[in-house]
Amino acid sequence: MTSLFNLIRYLKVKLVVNTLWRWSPKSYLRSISLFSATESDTVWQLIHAFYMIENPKHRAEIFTQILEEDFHAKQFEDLINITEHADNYKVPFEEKKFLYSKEDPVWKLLAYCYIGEKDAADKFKDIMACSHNPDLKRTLAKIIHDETSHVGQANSILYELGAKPSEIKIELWRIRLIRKYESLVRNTKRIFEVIVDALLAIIYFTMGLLVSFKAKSIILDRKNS
Amino acid sequence: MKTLGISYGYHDAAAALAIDGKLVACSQEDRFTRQKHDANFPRYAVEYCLEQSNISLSDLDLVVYHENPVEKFTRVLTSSFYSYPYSFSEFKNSMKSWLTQKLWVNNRLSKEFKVSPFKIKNLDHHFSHAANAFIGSGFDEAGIIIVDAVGDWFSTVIYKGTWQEGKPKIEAVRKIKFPNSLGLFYSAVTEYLGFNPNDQECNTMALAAFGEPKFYDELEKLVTWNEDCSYTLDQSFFNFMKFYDGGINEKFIEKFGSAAKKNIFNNCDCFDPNFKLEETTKHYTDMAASIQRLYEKYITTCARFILKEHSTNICFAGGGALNCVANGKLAQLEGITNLYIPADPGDGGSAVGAALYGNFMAGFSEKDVSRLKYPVYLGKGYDEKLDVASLQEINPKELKRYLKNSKYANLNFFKVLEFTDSKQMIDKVSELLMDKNIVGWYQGRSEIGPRALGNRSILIRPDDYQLAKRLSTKVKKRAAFRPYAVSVSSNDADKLIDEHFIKYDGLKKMQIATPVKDECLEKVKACVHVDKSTRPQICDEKENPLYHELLNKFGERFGLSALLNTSFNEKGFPLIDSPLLALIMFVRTEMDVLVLNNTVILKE
Ligand SMILES: [Fe+2]
Ligand SMILES: [Fe+2]
Ligand SMILES: [Fe+2]
Repeated sequence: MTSLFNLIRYLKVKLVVNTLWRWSPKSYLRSISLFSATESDTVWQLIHAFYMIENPKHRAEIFTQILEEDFHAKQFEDLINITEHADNYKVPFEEKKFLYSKEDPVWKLLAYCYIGEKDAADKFKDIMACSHNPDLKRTLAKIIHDETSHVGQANSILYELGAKPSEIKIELWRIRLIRKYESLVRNTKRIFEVIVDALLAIIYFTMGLLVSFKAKSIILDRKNS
Repeated sequence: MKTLGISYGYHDAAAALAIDGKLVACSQEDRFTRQKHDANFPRYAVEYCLEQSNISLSDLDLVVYHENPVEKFTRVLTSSFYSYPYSFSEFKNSMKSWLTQKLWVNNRLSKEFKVSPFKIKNLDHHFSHAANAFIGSGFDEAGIIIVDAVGDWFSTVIYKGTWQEGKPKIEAVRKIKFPNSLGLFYSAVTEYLGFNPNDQECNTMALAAFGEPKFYDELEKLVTWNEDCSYTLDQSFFNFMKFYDGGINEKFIEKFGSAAKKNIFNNCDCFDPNFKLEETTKHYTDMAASIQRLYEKYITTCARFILKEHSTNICFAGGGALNCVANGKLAQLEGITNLYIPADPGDGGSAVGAALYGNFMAGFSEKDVSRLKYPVYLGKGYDEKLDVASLQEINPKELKRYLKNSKYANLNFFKVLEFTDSKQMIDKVSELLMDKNIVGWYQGRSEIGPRALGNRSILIRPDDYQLAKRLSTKVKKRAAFRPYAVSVSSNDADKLIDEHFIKYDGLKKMQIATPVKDECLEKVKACVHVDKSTRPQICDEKENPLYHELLNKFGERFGLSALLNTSFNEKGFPLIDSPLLALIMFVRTEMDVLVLNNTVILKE
């Protein structure tokens, strides 16, 4: 079952890397910007985790991981910044919300990060296998190396923090389901957006001419302050 | 009366809390989310404001939002139809965000804060700026200038502020409507110079000092203005309605040449007195000087109008008030008694205006208006103990990759000195500053607004070009054409700056560029721009006793109580908030010393 999922994921990545990214440099840059934003979000969640943990040793581990994730975000950003008008390709900032509150046990937040790390590492490995872009491959190689060690590290802190293995297992499955659900919502939203765009196009092009006369008269009138 | 002021949706989301006329807490959301100029709903800024003053949402009398969504929506809708049929992407994207979110701000506020919709009020965007400027000034009456890119429908508004029975009366005397906007004009030229509009206008201002205003006459032809401050812009050179195409259009390019390429300003170096500009670069620095001159001319026209018709007290806010060179021109005008610029004149500060004005809307009144002035250190403060403890668990080998090309490539360990007495700590830090260390200085609650004023600052001695250069390249990653600011103790301010300027409150907040006295130029040369001006912060004991003491102690060794002071943040990030963020910057850059409250950390 898992290997079937992996295969589907690989094929999806291959399709994106070899067709979409090749035809549309803009969509490549948007994806890279999205990777950067995801790394930054991990940093942000980890900063929250840092303040939820009291053990200085665990805090130190989180600290170095924060540095690494921030480094990854920067690496992705550098890939975009080599293009002119790089800012046009960057995804806008998302509204932030902590995944877990201060009342939740911190291991749950770390479990979430663990799944995130694992997914990212897998995805980056697939991209690495399909891509022919040397800059991107160089960046990914470094990041994959870090992510693999983060997965191990997150796993061990998780158990050291005293959660029962059965609890962890349940939580990991819960998180996986949530992430699947979230990606389903994202995809549905995308389809929905196509419909909304079409509706807006109809409104714009049918009513636009009339409204534009009014708009022009308002703006021209307002020119005289 | 307890009122919460909120601004979000465009840039610099923020929350502010005022209780009985007193501003008690305020923060921009980006301090918590680390997303510079974050425009999203200020969830964590609100959480902080409530926590800081120990109140809950149910205690709030009013929540005041800094603008009127319906008014703004009509402007967005109108401008998106203006360029029909070529503005579909503007229309589509605007409508998607407006119809799904922005138009329903009041509903969201009511839902998030669990308060009745009747407790949510809206102010006009420029009015919020004006309330921040006038109420916080403590003036009995004043003329108020508000200049930014665009608010609801206006870009520039002049108000007259007075008090009636303990309540502020702020009335507009001149309104300039979108798309006429000198703020947008300035941003468009900023974009023409290759910088991010709405963010890097300070770069344009800094570059102006390298050029001559050769294009002033040409640029001035694009504006028609009158003595009464009203103006119109020749829209045929701009794209303000079709913003996805950038602020300027082909006609502008035809007239002024193609836009600047990336990184062409490397030769503009304020640490090199013998800098030489190439012809191509000069074209752009001249453009910067020209738009800067034009902007200054307009602002002084506004001030003259106010001085003649309304008042000798002037308040100035909106993003335009971040231009400290123009503020310096205002300060030199004859006839001004007082000039006040709020700590955060931009959109973050409009939350402050909303919160303060909200108090009066809820029934509060105040006879002694000078009581309404507020301090700048209203951001969050943290204890540093646990953060420092975790630093001691880190293996410096793990930091190698960040310090590869730095003087700390062979970092062995961090030396932590904990002081119980701040006097001893200050003595040690002033010694380290004398010894040419780059010091991260983190104390107490953070400053509101964009300027670091001695609680989230990076400090070095002010007389060393090489050290300033190391700070720019290895710590701040900041362009060499951007000059640094100087902090000076109130005891020594008159040695550095002309008496005439010292009276202005803006000098306590680094808001006014002033000339440096000749006799001090050598002493503070690393904080002086190529035009021999600086952006001083005069620190007095009452406002920030600890920083004042550090400046004085350093002065005993150095001969002048002044330090180069720059904001504690890395390129692309907002001012740091927590000790953890200070540590992150400390360990991965060439910062030599970090002071977290009373703890001093050194790299060995
Ligand atoms: Fe990562
Ligand atoms: Fe990771
Ligand atoms: Fe504004």
